[in-house]
Amino acid sequence: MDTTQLLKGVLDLAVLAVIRDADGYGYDVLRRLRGSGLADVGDASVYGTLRRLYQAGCLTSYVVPSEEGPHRKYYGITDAGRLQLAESTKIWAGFARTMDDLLRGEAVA
Amino acid sequence: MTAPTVGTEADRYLQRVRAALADLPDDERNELIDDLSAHLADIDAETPDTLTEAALVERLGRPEAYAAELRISAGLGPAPDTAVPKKVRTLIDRARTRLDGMPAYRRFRAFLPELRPGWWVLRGYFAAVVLTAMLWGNFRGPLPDGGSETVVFLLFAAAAAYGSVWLGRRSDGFGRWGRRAVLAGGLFVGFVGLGIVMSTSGPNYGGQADYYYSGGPLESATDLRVYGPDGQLIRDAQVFDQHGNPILLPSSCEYVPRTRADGGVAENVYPRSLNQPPSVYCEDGSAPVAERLPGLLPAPPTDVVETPTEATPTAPPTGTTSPSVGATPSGTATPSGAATPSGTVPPTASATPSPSRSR
Repeated sequence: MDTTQLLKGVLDLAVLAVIRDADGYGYDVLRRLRGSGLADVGDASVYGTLRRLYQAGCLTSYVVPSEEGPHRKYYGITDAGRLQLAESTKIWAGFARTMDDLLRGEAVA
Repeated sequence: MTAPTVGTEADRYLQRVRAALADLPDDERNELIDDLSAHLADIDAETPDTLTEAALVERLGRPEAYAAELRISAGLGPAPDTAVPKKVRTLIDRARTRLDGMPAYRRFRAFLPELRPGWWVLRGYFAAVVLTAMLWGNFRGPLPDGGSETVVFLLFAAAAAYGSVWLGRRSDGFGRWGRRAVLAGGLFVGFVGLGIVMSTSGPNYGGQADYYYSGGPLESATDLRVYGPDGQLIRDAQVFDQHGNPILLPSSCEYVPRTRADGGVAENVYPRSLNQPPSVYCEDGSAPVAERLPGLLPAPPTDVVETPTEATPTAPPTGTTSPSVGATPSGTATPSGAATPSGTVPPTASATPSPSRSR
């Protein structure tokens, strides 16, 4: 199954989850997602998602100057972001359970 | 944000993504480009080798695809629809995907950027050629004739090459139509410039029988009259160059075949001429009539003459068979016309003029 298709629906959730505990800049977030096992996540998708979440008020951003290399634009989660993460988590949990049941039922039948 | 150095592959990539996002509001686009710029710098930093276009595409996808993915995930509208019908675009995309799957094509693609600077310089030179030809006129060959003109042209060409490289390093950021305009302009300049460079007006040294003089004092000569040391006109003389090629004149009258006494075709007997289109008009009697010579039959009456389309090669006139046929190129021919070939440069069969080939 193509995971990129599945990812599209839950990338918001994944990005929020990755930033929840620690702020991060774009490439950092990308690496964390890939490190978590989402190997197929696309670079552009992550940057676009960060941008959209920021504009929706779920993320804040601040620039950290860097001595070597580019300045880093860090993203941190806002209260609105935490709220959305909590809601999305609930929805995802219900959805995942439904899918699990469905698949298990098929396997038994 | 620190932008990658201008002119690197990363910068080119960035410019193309920027171009693909050209319809977005400036703020929005700049934010996205800044993110990508930092991202590219991070990628660059962790790659020991210099980033190639192929490596970037491998990692991020083509710039246009990257921009499209960015739009979707950022919740921005898709790029404005282009004039290309969807069906055609699908076909092109499919072909491109298939090509991208071939290692040989990928290697070829990876090699192409290496050639770009060379093309930029060449494009500048061609632009200089085209412009110079337009301004001065009469521009032929790779360089103009004459010392000072050549220097001026070379300076001009250097400036044009510089400008072309400058343009080449920036044109990636010009947007789709800008890039197409640059490409079209480059192709135009290339083709026209190549045409000018390839054209020559010098003498044509191509074929043995096509050796004729163009330009210079012989340009309007229609006949050659050979005089001996005694001041007497040498009738039915033949003139050859140092290679034994017959001298043909560009504006000669009709070719008149002559026959040797042994039945062969006597070549290059003056008055002689090149076969010409009927636009050249020769008055009757404008050329001296060859007199009868030993070994050469008299010139046939002009109204009976039929211009041959293909001259038959004959046996080389050697000193033993027909001494009268060839006047020596040395100019020591005697008034009798029965000049003896010196033997050093005998007019050979290769000297046979083929009137249909000339001009």
